[in-house]
Amino acid sequence: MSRHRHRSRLKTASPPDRGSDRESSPRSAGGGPAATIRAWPWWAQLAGCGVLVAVGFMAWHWATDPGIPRPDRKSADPQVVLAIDDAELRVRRDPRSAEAWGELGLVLQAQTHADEAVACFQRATEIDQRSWRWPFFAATARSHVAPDEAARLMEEAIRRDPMAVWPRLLRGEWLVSLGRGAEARADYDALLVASPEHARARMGLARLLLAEGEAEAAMATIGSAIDHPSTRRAARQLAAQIAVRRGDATAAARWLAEAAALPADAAWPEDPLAAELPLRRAGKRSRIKLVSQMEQAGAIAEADALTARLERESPEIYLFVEGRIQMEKGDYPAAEKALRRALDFDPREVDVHFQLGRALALQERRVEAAAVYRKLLAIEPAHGPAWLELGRCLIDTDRDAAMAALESAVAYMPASDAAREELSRASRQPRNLPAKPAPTPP
Amino acid sequence: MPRLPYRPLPTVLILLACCAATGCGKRGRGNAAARANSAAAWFVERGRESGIGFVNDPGPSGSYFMPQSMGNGAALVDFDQDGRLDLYLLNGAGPASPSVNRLYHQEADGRFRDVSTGSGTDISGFGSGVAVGDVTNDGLPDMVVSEYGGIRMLVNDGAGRFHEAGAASGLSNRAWGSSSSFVDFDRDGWLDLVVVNYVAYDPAMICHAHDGSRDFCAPAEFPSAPASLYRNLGAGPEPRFEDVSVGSGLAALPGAGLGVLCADFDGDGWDDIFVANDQQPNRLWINRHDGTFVDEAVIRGVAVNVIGATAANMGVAWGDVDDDGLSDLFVTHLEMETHTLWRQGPRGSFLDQSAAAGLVGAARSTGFGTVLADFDLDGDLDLAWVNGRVFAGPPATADSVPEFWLRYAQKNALMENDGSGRFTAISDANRAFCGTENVARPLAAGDIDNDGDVDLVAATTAGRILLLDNVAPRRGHWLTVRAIDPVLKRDLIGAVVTVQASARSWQRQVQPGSSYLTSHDPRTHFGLGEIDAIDAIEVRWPDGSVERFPGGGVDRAVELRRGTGRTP
Repeated sequence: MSRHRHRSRLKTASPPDRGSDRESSPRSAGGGPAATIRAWPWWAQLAGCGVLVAVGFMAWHWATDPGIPRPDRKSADPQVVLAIDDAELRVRRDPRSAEAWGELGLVLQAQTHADEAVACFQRATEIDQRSWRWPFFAATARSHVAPDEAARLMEEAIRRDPMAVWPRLLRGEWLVSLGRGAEARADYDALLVASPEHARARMGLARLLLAEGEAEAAMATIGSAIDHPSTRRAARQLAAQIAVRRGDATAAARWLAEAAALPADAAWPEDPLAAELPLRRAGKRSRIKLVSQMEQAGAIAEADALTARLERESPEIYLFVEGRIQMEKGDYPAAEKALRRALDFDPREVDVHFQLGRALALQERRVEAAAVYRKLLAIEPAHGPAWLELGRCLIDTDRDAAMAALESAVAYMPASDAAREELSRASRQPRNLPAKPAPTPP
Repeated sequence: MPRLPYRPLPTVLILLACCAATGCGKRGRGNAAARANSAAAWFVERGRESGIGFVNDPGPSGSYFMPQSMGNGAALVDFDQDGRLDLYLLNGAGPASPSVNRLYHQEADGRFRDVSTGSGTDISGFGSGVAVGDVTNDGLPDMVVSEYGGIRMLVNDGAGRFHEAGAASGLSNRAWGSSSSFVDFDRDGWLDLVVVNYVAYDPAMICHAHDGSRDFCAPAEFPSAPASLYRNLGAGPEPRFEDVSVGSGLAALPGAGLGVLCADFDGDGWDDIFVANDQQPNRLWINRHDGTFVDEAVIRGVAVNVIGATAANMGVAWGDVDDDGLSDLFVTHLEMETHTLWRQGPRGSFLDQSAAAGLVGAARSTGFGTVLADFDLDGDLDLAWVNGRVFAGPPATADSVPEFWLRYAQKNALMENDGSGRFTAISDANRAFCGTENVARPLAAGDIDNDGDVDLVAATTAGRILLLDNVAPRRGHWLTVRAIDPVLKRDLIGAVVTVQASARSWQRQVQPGSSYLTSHDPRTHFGLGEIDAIDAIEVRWPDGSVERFPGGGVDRAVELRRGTGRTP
């Protein structure tokens, strides 16, 4: 957008003054450079103009396009495209802002455009020479693809803040994976000097020592990790492994028994990059998932806020939720109305089709329900529950078609007792004769 | 025009150099000059010219039905026992699909003929893995097909006919069966069966990538499933199995199982069961000799990788890569992880030594089927694996891949062992195997043309198979050993064969079930390097007894019959 505006301004600004400039120029009458140029043959003048235009274009491009990396957005959710566009706009408005570049990097990383994200984090690193976060983000985003390069990038983060925990911790782990044990050890050692009880660093170093054949040192290094809620089980299991290596089967059995008696270790807090990403996942599906994750984590207020935002941005979600609420209330006509409106927004939304089919079936409108399920199955041929419901809709009117649908239900949901029971019931019916209606699904 | 003077000596020298480089006239002797010849291709693709028209049908593209992304199996099986390996290939388009599994018979001229129709193997379903073993001890290999939601035992009736064992066989599995393998875990002489199950997939779950585009679901979205163990009850014309998953202990710990390997991990002579779990710790079920197993993956070091992280464990290969007399374990992973080599040492303990083995710097890829075999006969085990993403990535450009699958296609990988257990990628020189992106899942190995080297079969999703004829410059001698029991009339799966020569020895286990969804040639293959005579062959049979057979010449296929050797 802004690029077009710039271009049109340039076009309207230049032509009117050209001739008059030439006429009034004090150099035009004398033998200055202009006269020299006029003495050139026409083709040389043309080439000179071409060079000037090219230089001008490059200068304009340099000034207006900060080199924003552009991921493929062909199949992306429109909300994702919008989020990336917003973040890009911030960079265009303020191309010397490390925060803007960093934010664009985070938005891109959140939508799994890691290469483009790394480029943004590196620009932020160049602009902001102090924060360790930008090189940390660049390195971490690169770590899954090229851990050796990530380890190199992380050096800058460590240089900027040698006391920061995360850069050394992650680099230590990457270096272990890369087989660069001595360098990893240096990172772990430095980290444990700064944070002697850091459980993850202790575990990492202990594993490294074990891999290098230093079982005794490994055992000693576990130390306080044995009590940390995120490592206490893993620490005991590692202790058991070390004990086996030392030939102490009794100790190994004891450690294992202790580990087995403990609940699973608590998840380790996310690294600073990973922690930034969930709220920047702009896709509708990602946000729906995030809502349920927030609810599970007890963050009800945040979940409500995100739900409200989702409903604002995606009316079909609001209508789908409305439809489900009406279904739960038993108001099937109202549910049908909401769900049909949701389908107007997104006719390929499988979950809405499925709920609409149920709403119709529960109103005993089985022929219409079957049509909805068929439409769904044309979109999603492996949707086992839709095959089951289609079979249930048809069982009274078309036993053969019901059998075929229920066979598909069993094929796609082999563990479903309901599908098998319905298939068995249908197979017992005389061909295309009325059968006792199936119990309606809850 | 002036003519260059003819100088015969340089010409001869150049010709000799070319000859040395290509190995012409020198098949069988390993030497240092030949080792420098890694740029030569090791395989040529002969699928189409061999008469195999099979194109895998995973089902309709774009439905994102998760089993489609996990592949359909392949088996090398000499079903008519004519001495030539045949081929059984699975489809995954569902039970109502006309795309049935295909059985190809290898003719005397090395071409393959489709003998599926009427064979009883021409079944359709959501095929996953295939295991081969003679479950009735009648001398004819039977096949088990694990499926999404089922398991089917194809009993070999001879004369190219199979029948499907019914419910009376006791084999039943509603879970999503993945890889499977035969193992005589109770040493009763009857092959038992282990099937690893993946996840309790809900096909109504619709998954998207973070950018909102539709994609296959991840296993973490669904509950995991435990492995199934079926004990062969034996004695009868029809197979009869008992589900002992609960009693044996395997059902106690669910995991998203993909790969399986039955081998003696702790050195007690009894086969154990390793299960490679996707995004969960692996399980190593140690055989307690009483019909029960206990998971010791953690204490033996194979549950997690070197930094203690759980990874997406998929295909499995087993072999002694560093010539220390102990078999090592290789498992393929996702492209953002590292394919992992757990080296054994001391016996029964393993350490992730992937970096030291040169495997971390290898091209990142999502690996599935994998094989450790001595492709160039120089006496050490080389490494091959096939690739293909499970989540969409940048699209490939391969013409042979349907458009939908291009975002999942990747190139396969081939690594050469330098003899010390350190690997170097030689993929670039091996275009037939590694030059084109594909979505490959199973990888089977065997001497298909009986010429003494290990060939490969890679099955690709929605594509043709790669039948890869080994043409590697030979750097040494070879031996192929088939270990059979004339009483049981079958290959003794679980037997450990040790070839002894003056300077060194090599050990292999008879176990066609490894890699991923695959069954290999049941014969064991040994590349011997410069060794041109062997002292003896020792076999530890699955019941723990040991027999010693005389050695002799090399470059031959040996059939060792139990009871005809000498007790050491």
